[in-house]
Amino acid sequence: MQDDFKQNFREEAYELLNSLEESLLELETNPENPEEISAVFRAMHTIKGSAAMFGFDEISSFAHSVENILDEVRNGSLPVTSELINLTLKARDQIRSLLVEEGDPALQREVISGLDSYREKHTPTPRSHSFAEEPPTSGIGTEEVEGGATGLAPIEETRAEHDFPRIYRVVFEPHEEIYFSGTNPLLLLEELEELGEFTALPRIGEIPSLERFDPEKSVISWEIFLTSRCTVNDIYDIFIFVEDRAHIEVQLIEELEPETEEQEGKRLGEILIERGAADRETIEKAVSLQKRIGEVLVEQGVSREEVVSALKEQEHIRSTRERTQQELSSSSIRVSSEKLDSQIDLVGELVTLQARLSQSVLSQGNGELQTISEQLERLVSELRDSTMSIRMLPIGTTFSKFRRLVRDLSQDLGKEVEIEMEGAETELDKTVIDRLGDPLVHIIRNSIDHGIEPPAVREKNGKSRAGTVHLSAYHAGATVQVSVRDDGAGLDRSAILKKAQDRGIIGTNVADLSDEQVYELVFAPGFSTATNVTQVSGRGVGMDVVKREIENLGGTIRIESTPGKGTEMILSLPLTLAIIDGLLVVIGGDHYVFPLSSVDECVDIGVGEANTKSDTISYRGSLLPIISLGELFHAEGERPQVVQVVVSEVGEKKIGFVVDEVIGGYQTVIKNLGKLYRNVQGVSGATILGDGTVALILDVPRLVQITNESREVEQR
Amino acid sequence: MAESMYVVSLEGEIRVQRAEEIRAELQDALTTHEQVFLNVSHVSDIDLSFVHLLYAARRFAKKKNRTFRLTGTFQETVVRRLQTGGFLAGNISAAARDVDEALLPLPE
Repeated sequence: MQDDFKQNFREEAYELLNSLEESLLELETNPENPEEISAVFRAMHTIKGSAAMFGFDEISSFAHSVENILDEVRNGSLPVTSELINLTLKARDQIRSLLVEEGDPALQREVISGLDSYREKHTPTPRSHSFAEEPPTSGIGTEEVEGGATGLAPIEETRAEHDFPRIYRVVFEPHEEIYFSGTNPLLLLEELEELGEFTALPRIGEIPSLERFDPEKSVISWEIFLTSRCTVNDIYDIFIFVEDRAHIEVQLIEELEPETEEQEGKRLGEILIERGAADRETIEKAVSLQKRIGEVLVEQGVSREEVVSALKEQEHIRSTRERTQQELSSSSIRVSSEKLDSQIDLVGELVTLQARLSQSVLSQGNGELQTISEQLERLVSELRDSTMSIRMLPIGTTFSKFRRLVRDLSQDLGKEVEIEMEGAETELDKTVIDRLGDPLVHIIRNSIDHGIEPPAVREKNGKSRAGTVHLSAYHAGATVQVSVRDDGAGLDRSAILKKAQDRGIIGTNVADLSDEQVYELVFAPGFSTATNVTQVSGRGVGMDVVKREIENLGGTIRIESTPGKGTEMILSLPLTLAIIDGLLVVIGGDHYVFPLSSVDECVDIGVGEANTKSDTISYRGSLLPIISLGELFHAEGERPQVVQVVVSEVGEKKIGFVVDEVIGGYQTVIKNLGKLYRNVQGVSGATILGDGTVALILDVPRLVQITNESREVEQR
Repeated sequence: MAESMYVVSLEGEIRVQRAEEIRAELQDALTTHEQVFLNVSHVSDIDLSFVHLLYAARRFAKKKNRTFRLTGTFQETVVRRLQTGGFLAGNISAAARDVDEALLPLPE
């Protein structure tokens, strides 16, 4: 039990140390930020307190001495300098080592004596830092600074705002011709969203079926609930330019004074009575039936849209209240990732079993069972989505680690490097994030070590002294693109070719290799371009390992580089490893699954339509290369008279896969292949179908590669 | 069954100017095929006409007893627009996984 507590403490401490590190690095760029100073102090203070509680006495006393210094900094009697930040970072590293009982006593002594001399050096001359104009009296410094920061507040207050948030109900009904005025109603809603907490409920019931639908007319209207301190006029102002092309109504529902926040939310019935959508008698009758009131009311003829809208209002108010409550008490819990993994496995089994159930119920034709099975299916899919979303983490958790890496590395190498990050909020499956850390570290090391030039060289080439490493992540289709870009020297084509020839990776005939192909050589096993092998990145294990790791994750990596301008490594990663949408096909009586994200289209071809010599078909006015999967897999039996071609796009080129039959969309729970089959090429996994048979999941880019290779061999 | 599947892939910004062309293509596809998939991965931005199209197609498919499903992933801008308009059920991560389920259903 005690061990469990200790483990919990460690996990908490790691998080605190990470945020401590972030704040310190932030402080380095912005040394007078009182919030970061307090954050640093608080983190150290918490570590000291909880370490003492769980018996980590050494950590506690060490943290205590660091905390003392930080307290003086917080009070304004000691300045923030890079020396102090260095010392505190070292202290942080020491605490981290102490947590796993690997502390370095020499480092610890060095930090403590360093801090002592820092105090001596700076105490008598407070003039050297910015708080000097304020008397360095304890406790006052920070308040003064905060007072200064809020100096802007009166300007803000000149805008009329309410003291407490109010909940408004806004009805927005654009006229049919709204597009003709050049207005995009969604943009107006975006403006409204900026005013506060916002829930929009669109009315889509009026949209007609395709054949009767005039795409130039809009028939969607909205009911919007907005919690904001703004006034009614602020809301009308947003719609000022569409006043004569839309019906707009703003109604104040409630003012959220502190007292009312204690009260219960309004009941559904009360809201409907207030709006005149139902009378009290109907409501009371409904309540007495003890079903869910919304369902009963709809049965009794109250408009479904009204009920749904009233429920939304109720939900909006409730969630606003809950958030206020949550700000007081944080409601997250810590769960070990193994528990999550096993939950994903279970959900996967459940999805598979559900598919079997649906199939067998369908074949029996029992109506009641079918209803139950459909309800179950809905629940299972909700469960699946919520489980998957628990595992999604923002990639920023990995990104933030790199600030320290870049800082330390550039100091070691005598280079000046800044790091920029973009898209840190992009979400990815936890497993992918965990396994992405090491490859990214390697790529960033390479950028700093080989890419970015020393300051003097940069200046000579007309660049700024400091180089930049730019990290970014964004969603693109079913993948996440992660890119590491530097503004360094770029890849050296001739150096790469020479090295590759020296190592026997390629022959001497290289003139017709494209730049892309040359850069690809960097990923060849045993390749390293640094002429002077440094401790940092040149250890012979290099980009080939990175590439393999990314491919193991189901991703791809490519390089773009311009000499003199810089290099960019672009990683394309799957959102999740557990469940994908697939397209089920049959080849030679066996089932296979294409990941739906790599399918563009399916077309039929009759026998004889394909040009068997060049393996192409005519497709949308041009020639499309095709691969017959039946031949590739040596499938048994005759090929049918009419086959289908699944068109997919691999690296911007279209290619067709000939299959016997396309069955349709299929929710695919990915199972790993056993050890024996792990090296089978062109197959990335397997899934179990509704009837219990196994279908292999096709690895489309790999299939293309295999075919290209074998065709090249044939041509020779 | 097999020959009746069709995938429509939309690309770029889908605004009212292209709405009629897409409406015609979808109606055509849903008339001749039993299953029509609309891949939305390459749609970079939308206006309200796109939302109209999706629901009009759902209604048409239901009437003709056809399957009409969205596939792929919404790009971030599109997710933001749909979310602002209140057209997404559930959260964004779920939307990234199954776009068809993420889009609010038609009222019965």
